[in-house]
Amino acid sequence: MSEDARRPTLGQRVADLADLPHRRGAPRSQPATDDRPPEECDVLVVGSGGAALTAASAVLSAGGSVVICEKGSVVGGTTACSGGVAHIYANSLMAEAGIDDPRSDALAYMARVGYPTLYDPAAPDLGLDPSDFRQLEAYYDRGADVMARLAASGAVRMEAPWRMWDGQPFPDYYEFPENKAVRGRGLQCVAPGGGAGNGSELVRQLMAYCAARGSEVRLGHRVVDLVVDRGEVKGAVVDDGTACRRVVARGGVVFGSGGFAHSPELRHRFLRGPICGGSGVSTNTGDFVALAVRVGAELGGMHNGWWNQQVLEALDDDAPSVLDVWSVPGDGMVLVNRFGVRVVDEKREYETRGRAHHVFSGDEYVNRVLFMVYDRRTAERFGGRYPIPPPGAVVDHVVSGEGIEGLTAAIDERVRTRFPAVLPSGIGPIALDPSFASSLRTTVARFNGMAETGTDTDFDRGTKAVETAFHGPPAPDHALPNPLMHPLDADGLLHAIALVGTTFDTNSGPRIDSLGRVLGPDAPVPGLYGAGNCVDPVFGEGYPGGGSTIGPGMVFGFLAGEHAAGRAARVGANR
Amino acid sequence: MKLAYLTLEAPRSDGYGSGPSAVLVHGEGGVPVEDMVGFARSAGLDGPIVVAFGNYATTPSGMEVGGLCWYRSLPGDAGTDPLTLTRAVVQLTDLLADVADTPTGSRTPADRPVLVGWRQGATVAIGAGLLAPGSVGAVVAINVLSSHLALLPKSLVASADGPPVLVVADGEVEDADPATARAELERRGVSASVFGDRQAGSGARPQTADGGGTRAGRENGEGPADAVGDFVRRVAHRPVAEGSPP
Repeated sequence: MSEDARRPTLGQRVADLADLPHRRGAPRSQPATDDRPPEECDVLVVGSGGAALTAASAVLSAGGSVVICEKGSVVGGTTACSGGVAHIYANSLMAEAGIDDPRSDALAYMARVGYPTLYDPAAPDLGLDPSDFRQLEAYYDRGADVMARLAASGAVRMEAPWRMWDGQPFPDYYEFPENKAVRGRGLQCVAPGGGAGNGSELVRQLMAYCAARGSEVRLGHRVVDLVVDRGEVKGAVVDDGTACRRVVARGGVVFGSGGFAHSPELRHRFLRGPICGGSGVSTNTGDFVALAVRVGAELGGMHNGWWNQQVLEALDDDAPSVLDVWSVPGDGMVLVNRFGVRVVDEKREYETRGRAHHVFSGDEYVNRVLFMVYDRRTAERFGGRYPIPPPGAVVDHVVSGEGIEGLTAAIDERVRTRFPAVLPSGIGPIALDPSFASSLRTTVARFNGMAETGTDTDFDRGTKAVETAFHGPPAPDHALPNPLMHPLDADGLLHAIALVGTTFDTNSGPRIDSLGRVLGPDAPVPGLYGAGNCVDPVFGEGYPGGGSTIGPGMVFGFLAGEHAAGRAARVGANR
Repeated sequence: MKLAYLTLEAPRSDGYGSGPSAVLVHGEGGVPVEDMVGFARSAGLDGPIVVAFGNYATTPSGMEVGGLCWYRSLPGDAGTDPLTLTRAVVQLTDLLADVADTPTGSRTPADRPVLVGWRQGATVAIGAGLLAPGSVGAVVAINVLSSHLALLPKSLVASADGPPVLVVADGEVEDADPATARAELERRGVSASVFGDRQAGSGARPQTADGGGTRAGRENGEGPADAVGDFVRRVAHRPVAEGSPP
């Protein structure tokens, strides 16, 4: 056994050094409820990412009081790790720019992306379940309005266009005929000095708005139970690390607490295939699922996630903040499976590449691991763009070899010695098929021919705007028809990086309605709300464009907070 | 996941000079390698050099990607994420262990590399010096933020064989105050030397931890590289506590 294999994981060593309970360790014993009287507020908000803080802002805008509980030790949830983009249809910037975003086409686009097996343009509700279609309608109808109201209240101005490297608005991820407005739906917050702010800035602004109205985020406060009275959710039991205390919330409880990407148990229970937890915050452990079910919530599709890829060597670090591979850099580069076969358009956005790992064929998940193969030129031109290391750098996650045979030997040795058995993540054992070298030679030869002509007849690489957006400007020495394709020097030094499929968070949970109310089998569960990745997604299994995570989280978070504040006001008036 | 690192060629045709080896730890945004190396060479670090690359970053307007910095910045006044900072410290000590058998490694105590870090990299370098004192000859922390130092794990305190530390403010950024950084280090038992203390005032000689003083100071025309050079020359062959790991 190697020295590395004997050593505790990076995550374990970090937890030990930071004196933190290991995040995947045994659950802590529940502290006793203390003797203090319950704390009272209008609305209890759970989480501190975009959905939660927007909900809190809505309550405060309506004149209500809020308690915000975040179980983690840092603020912001996965939103704070992100670009902070919200995908909003027919938004104000599009109107200013004269971009038309017709309702019927936008609904068709969302339906086709999110429900591809049901979508029927000729059918009522486009073939969708009526409740799902109502959610899409609500999202289209209320999205821009919510953004305008957030700006008017002073909470945050989502009025900066999300732009790509050449200054153009970032395109959506699909260019179906139904999509009449491919660019312009991505909005970021306006930073204090002008320009666009990222997710951290978005969280900062929402936090500042809440704090100025007396509501600070309480870190290390975990909701462990809901308080239910005659079928209504009227608060929660909150563990602050030393004791549990009841928080009575007159209007209800809004969850914006993230998905379950970092709960191996829930991943194995609900997701299919070799899927690991990715770059979302490690507190995304799906607490809301059990709490909501206990009070009668109906679960939606539990198989959805925001798919991505990560480097194999980072898999069992168990470390905080794993990096996902948001784009695969390089032009002289292919992704192949253990049979040496290309399986996906390598330049597509993370969602499409992440999904490629889910394919079951024959008797195995054939794309469980994909090898990113690139040559010396690509290493030099694109070095420093993760996961390609800076030019000349030594890095553990890259294996190299001369020519196809040399690279095959290097990969084979790596996977045999490092990943010979099933890892805790469920990935492995990993082994190259005996045909790998010959198939890879064929694959590279075919790719090189297509690179010369500029036409990828296998996967249409380089034909979508989103690919260029993620790729960046062409390499300076690129003079072929397709800037995203360049022949690999198959006889020179070749490199490989192994990638596995991840979800940077799941987006599965209880169903909600167009007001963010959690649904039971027949009606909403009174007083229980949800938004963001902890609930059933408005887009079904789809990812129509950048900001499809934060956009619905903010919109339904706002609507939930506003509705809960109204409930609280009615309770107060009836006293 | 291990860090990427770059091993540089010898600076002279006849090989390395007599100065100590160094591990350079960039700041956020990725200080260009040539700038870091140029600084180190001008400070007399003419031994083997390794450049370490953080694998954590936040782009100004996009998703987090690797290679630009070391740990998460948090919203508002929250400063930084202590977990990813701790992770970066552990990763850097792993890298020191990995390069120990190279010319940059610490085969003898006097050969232990000097860690030179900028901004976030300075925090990580100090953390690594505290976590693995036997692997580090000295630490130079350029434009380090005291608020970030405060988030290093509480268990990281000075040890008998801990490396000397020089805190440098190069005047290029406003928010780096070496006096408060030194005060933060003193809470961990670390006596740091300082260059560029604005509060010391014009003409004041920079304070040093060992009482020996340093000739370096902006008031006598010397720049940060001179100060680092002085510091390294003084501490490079310091006595090493008996029993220290090689």
